[in-house]
Amino acid sequence: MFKTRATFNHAVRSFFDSKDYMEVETPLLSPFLIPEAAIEVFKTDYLKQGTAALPLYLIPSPELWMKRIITNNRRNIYQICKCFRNSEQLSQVHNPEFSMLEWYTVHADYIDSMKHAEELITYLHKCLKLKPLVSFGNEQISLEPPFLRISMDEIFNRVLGITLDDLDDYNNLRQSCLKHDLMVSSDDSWEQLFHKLFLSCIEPHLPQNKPLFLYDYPDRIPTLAKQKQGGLYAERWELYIGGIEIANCYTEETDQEKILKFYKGEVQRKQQSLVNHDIDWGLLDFLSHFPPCSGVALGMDRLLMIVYEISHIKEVMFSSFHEMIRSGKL
Amino acid sequence: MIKAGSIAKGMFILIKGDPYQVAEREFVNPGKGSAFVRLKLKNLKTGQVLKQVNKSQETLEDIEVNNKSFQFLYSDDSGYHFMDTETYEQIVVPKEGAEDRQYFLKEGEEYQLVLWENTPIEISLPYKMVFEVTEAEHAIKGDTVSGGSKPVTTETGLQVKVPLFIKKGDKILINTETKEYLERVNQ
Repeated sequence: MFKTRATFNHAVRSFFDSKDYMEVETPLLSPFLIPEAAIEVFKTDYLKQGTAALPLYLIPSPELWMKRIITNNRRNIYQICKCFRNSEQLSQVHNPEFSMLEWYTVHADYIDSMKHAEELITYLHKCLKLKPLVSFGNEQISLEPPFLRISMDEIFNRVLGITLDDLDDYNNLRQSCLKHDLMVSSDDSWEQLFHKLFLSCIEPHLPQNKPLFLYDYPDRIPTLAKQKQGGLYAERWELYIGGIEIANCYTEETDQEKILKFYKGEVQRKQQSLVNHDIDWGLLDFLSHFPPCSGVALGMDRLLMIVYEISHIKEVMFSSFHEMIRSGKL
Repeated sequence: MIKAGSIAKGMFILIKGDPYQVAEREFVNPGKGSAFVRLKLKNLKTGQVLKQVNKSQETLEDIEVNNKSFQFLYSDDSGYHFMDTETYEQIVVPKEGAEDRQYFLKEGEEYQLVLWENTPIEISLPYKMVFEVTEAEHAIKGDTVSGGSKPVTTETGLQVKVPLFIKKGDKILINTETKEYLERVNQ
């Protein structure tokens, strides 16, 4: 596996190097993080002499540092680094420590990034001499371009026969959930009902024979993605291969007010988190000079699994949490 | 009450008055917005499978159950007949929703029944059980088409694929969850 991973990482780097992206390296330990209510983080202490221990957090994504580099340098950058997410249940595609590829392209949007992601996977396919069809789960997946591109509105229409415009109304969304026998709580927010409907009724029916870009998510899901003209959608996509989320992309939000609104909302919802952390308010200053830019985060372990037809994440890691728990070390 | 995020495989919960057992639990975190848990639940009255998505913070009604030893006597159209090993009282567990338990029940053996308000809702099985092979074909030498395995039948009627060296009368260890052959047991 070491050799396979080394070859794979090398191929990824050569793709970005050939396109003149600069590889960067940023801290994994940070005194503050971007507030993201759905993510639990790992906390540790820095024992600084003469003071009380100072809390530090393992990054769930290198975004906060990479955005600072872009503000100052205004050039395309990429990074392959470890990221950490606490409390998530282990599964065939989840390990709390994992490898992320993140790349940012300035003066580009999410549609440009779709093309780059497709080029990257096509390049890896050729460079690593992969089979024309890879089998993953019960599927034979063709990694040949073009990949599928389906908007959220289109998939809702196709699977449930409803448009997202209709679901923008809270009561309509609630009725749709009830119609499909989903459990609905009185305190469910619009975003929570939307995800219940999406995860129960749509995601299991996504086409799996080719990589799929699912794009234009509802803007009411709080993210740092730019709002699309018209206001209902955000310039966002997720790349699914074999039914698994491999990557996500935003045209990055640059509007100060909207970023502040996102921060405040997440800080509020973060109060229910198990691990609280200091907030990276300083990033807001950098983002006020941020150029138009598109960012992609891609799970390297998952992509490695798919291209080499490996069904469990532990098989692509030196020692996964699954292994450490099985052998009693954790 | 229990938070959906704390639910584990094998737990028992109550939905609209029916007891369910958690068959699968998958943590789903879209990374944006909220965290969710995708549950696959088995209705212990009807055997029907229910899939649902809950917010991690959402609460569900868990039920208090207890395990008790019972001896399996026999099965007939009315269900599986068991006897309480302490009180010698007999009870019947309906077959509905527990049809595949017939392949694991051996007359005279003790099993743990899961009771909820004194009603049995589940026959729990050990992870591995030993069975005797009662029907087995002779292996054909040089047969490579079958991939080095052949089907046999146990005394309970369970059909499993086993390696070619297994003969009629052998004792074999079976994984009760996957119904797969694990190894031959030395007598």
